[in-house]
Amino acid sequence: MNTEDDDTRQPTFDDARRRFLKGLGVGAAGAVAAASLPTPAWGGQTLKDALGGFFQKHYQKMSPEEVQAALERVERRAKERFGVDINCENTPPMEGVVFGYAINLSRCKGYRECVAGCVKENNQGRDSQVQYIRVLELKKGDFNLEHSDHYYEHETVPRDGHFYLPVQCMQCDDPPCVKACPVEATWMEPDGIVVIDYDWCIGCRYCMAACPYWARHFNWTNPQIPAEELNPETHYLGNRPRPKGVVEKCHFCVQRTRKGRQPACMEACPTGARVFGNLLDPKSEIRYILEHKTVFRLKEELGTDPKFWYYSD
Amino acid sequence: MKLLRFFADSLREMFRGPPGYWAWLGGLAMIVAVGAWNYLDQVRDGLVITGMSDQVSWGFYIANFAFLVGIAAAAVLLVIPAYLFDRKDVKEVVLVGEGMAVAAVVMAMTFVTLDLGHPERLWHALPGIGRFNFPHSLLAWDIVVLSGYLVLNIAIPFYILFTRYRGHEPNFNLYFPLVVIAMFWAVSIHTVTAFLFSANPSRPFWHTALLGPRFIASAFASGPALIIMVLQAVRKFTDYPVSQSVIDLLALIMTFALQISVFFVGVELFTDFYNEGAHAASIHYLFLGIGDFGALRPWIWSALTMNVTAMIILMIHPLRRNIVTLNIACVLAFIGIWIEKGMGLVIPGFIPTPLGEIFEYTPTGKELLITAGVWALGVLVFTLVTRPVIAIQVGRLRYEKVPGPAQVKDFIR
Amino acid sequence: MQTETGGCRGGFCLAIRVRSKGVHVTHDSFAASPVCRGISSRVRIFALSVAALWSCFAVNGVAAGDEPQDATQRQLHFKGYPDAPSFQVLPRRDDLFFYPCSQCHEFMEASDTVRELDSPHDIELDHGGGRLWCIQCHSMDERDMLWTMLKEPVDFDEAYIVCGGCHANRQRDWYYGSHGKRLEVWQGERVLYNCTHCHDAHSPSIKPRAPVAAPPVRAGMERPDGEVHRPESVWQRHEAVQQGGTAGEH
Repeated sequence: MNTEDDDTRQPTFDDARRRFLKGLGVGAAGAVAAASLPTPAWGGQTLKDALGGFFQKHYQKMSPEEVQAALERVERRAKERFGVDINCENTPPMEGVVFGYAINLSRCKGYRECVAGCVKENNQGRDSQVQYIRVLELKKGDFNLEHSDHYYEHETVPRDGHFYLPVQCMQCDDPPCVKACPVEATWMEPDGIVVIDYDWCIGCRYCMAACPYWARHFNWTNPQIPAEELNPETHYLGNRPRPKGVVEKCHFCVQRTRKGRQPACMEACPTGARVFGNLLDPKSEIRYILEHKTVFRLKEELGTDPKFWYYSD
Repeated sequence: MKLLRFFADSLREMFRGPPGYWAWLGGLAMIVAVGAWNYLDQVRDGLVITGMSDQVSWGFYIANFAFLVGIAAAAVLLVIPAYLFDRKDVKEVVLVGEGMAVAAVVMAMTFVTLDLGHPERLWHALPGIGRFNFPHSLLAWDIVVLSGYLVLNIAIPFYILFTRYRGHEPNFNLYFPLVVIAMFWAVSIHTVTAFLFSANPSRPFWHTALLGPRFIASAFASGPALIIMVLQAVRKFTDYPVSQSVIDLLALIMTFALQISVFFVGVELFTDFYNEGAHAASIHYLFLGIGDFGALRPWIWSALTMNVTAMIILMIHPLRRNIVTLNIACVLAFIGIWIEKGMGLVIPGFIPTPLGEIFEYTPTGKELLITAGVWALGVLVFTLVTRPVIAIQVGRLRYEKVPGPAQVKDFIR
Repeated sequence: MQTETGGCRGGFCLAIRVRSKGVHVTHDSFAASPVCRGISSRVRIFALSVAALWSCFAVNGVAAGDEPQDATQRQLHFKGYPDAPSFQVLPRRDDLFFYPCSQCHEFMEASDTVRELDSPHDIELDHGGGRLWCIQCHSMDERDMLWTMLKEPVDFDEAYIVCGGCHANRQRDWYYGSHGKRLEVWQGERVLYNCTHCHDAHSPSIKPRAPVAAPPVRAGMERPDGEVHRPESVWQRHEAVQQGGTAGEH
């Protein structure tokens, strides 16, 4: 058979097979190429990232390589969503450290600088309008939270005859939210911070019902952050950009505190009302306060054992 | 082989009927489609399309979920008389009740699923490949008990129907232990759902030991109300015989349950209002409003009025026996308990917030349409499932054609 | 203090109103090297060179040279709190526009008479409710220093020694960290803000200022449109009863 007479001879099975394999090869190459292309079908991610994210394991179950892959996915996602190059880290907890926080109610004047600092540091959605810290204004002589004003807007603060109570996640040592979560998306780390794996949370919001301090917040919509305000120094369990449909809360600025820096709220407070440190260090400021000042915790009777105290001079 | 024929025949039975039946199916399918269409908006934009907020983070979906778990549990009120007390009349209709339980569980699970921020991540709850927080999380318990209840309420009727379909008698000793398990399981699904709420000291309105009993009592009042109305529909629209004695029994159970349910409401009111502390803020908001806020007041008072009226009707023997007044009582009790248990229980748990803020909740139009879609889905499931159930029970549907006209009494034990 | 995540917006910073040739300028920020517009260029150049010179020494937050960090290690009778964790203090001297004081006060006699002052320092003394005069804190011997009640000289960068003379409990709190503010880190070497970073020594009370905006509500929703429920207090109720004779309403 003269193979050069292609026009006249009948196609053989070999021809068909060759054509099929060639097509398969082209198709496979095309699929691989398509998998690395961002497409709207996967929310702007590449197919590889979308699948990788979907099948991603729980943070505590991932190997170091898998964690690294997850961090890189977060970084790529942020680049795609905001056009900003971020750095997502996984700084482990410090040895011999359990964090504690205290607020001096005599010093808090209700400026809400802590709130502003937190929003900027932690990449909270301006549209989903999550704020980890809420400052309550109460009338002197009345500690009933139901009489508090959350939305005070005065020309100047502090307002005469009133005092201010900032509330955020208490990082309870017996956290009801950790018990409530059906998929263990939230847990307490060795340094005492109660963290959330935002890629594991299914968004059932049971933890929000369980929290006695209204500390947990939900992304009802996609968090919108102006690119120029995005904080690029992030931690996977902390202020990395979050998707919609997951719960988030104060995490004691894990991206800062695990490197020795103060949480953003403490740094922002102009009056020095906030004190943060290592409860296991007997010479720390926080220990001094707990041992020498009259301190209390909110809703102590619920047995949540918060690591967040209030004191006054 | 017989199994395949069973499914094929059942499917054929589901999609066979007079024009009225098709209109019914079509209408339901349309409502389901509208709900699904709106759900796509929720998938795209997030739960921001609902009226929920950080302050009231559970709303209409979970309210309906809590109510429907109760309806599902109420199937046990047919199972117990049928199998434990050997009531033949009830045994005839018990499979219809279990079909209703299946539909209610499907609805409840659907509501929870579409309340999630990331329903595609549900696999995270699978033990092994996921992280299942059992036994600490009450929501994990709820997943276990609802799935188990669904399996039981499919397995037992399936066994009975498939056996009858093949022309044999189901083996009582085989399915009765499962039935006993199902009896306890039914009470447990609703108790676990109550515990889901009452386990939270952060929400004083829910944090009461009475919540479990309240849930069971109101379930046993609203469930029979629905079953009574459904059985009358079955009697009217199909060839399935439903004895009046079954309806009388259910009406009696409903009377007791409704009395207990109303009593429990009274108990709550006394306990919270006698020495009113901050923990009573939610019930104060619900019944009396706080300051300028009182959106739930008309709802709860209507619900209470409906429940008390239904209770009084049922307590008067002639009125309970009269089919018209009975149906009025059923409708009143069903709606009244739906309000009281749904919006009147889930929402006030969030108002005021643990930080004392009062922020009200109103479901949005899309939320209502999605909810309607799920209810339509449940009714559709029930309608479809009941067709082969009736056909097999009545004897019309068999693997081998039955010679001669079938007699109901020949096949129902 | 200018910080990355927020700044104090005036009100309690050291404010020196400088009046020269009829031009009013107010400092109300802690810029490291404040530049004051509208002042005669001669004074400005002089001040800048002095500030530059002193800032060389002030780099480590120490008053001068290699002296020990905590002033209490010098020859003060007050020994501080040895078991408080060690610290450095953020220097203040470079923020003081008129420093060194001796450039003018060398030519003036120190006086402890309480009197009406007509000076470039338009300072309103609102400290102590009339109990204090300048020389309670400012040394009459060494014009560039403050002094304790025992007339021991204290540098401006160690003003906390002076403040503690009256505010002993507050000073102790400051040493141990339950008062005042620490820079940057929560662990390791402590760098603290001096008292005068937050409290204008001449008018130390923290002045009211505007708050940051109220929290938003969820996207697509409005803030609740009602009053915060605040029942009257116990004593208000009794007052009403005693005045009106009727039982007050909850």
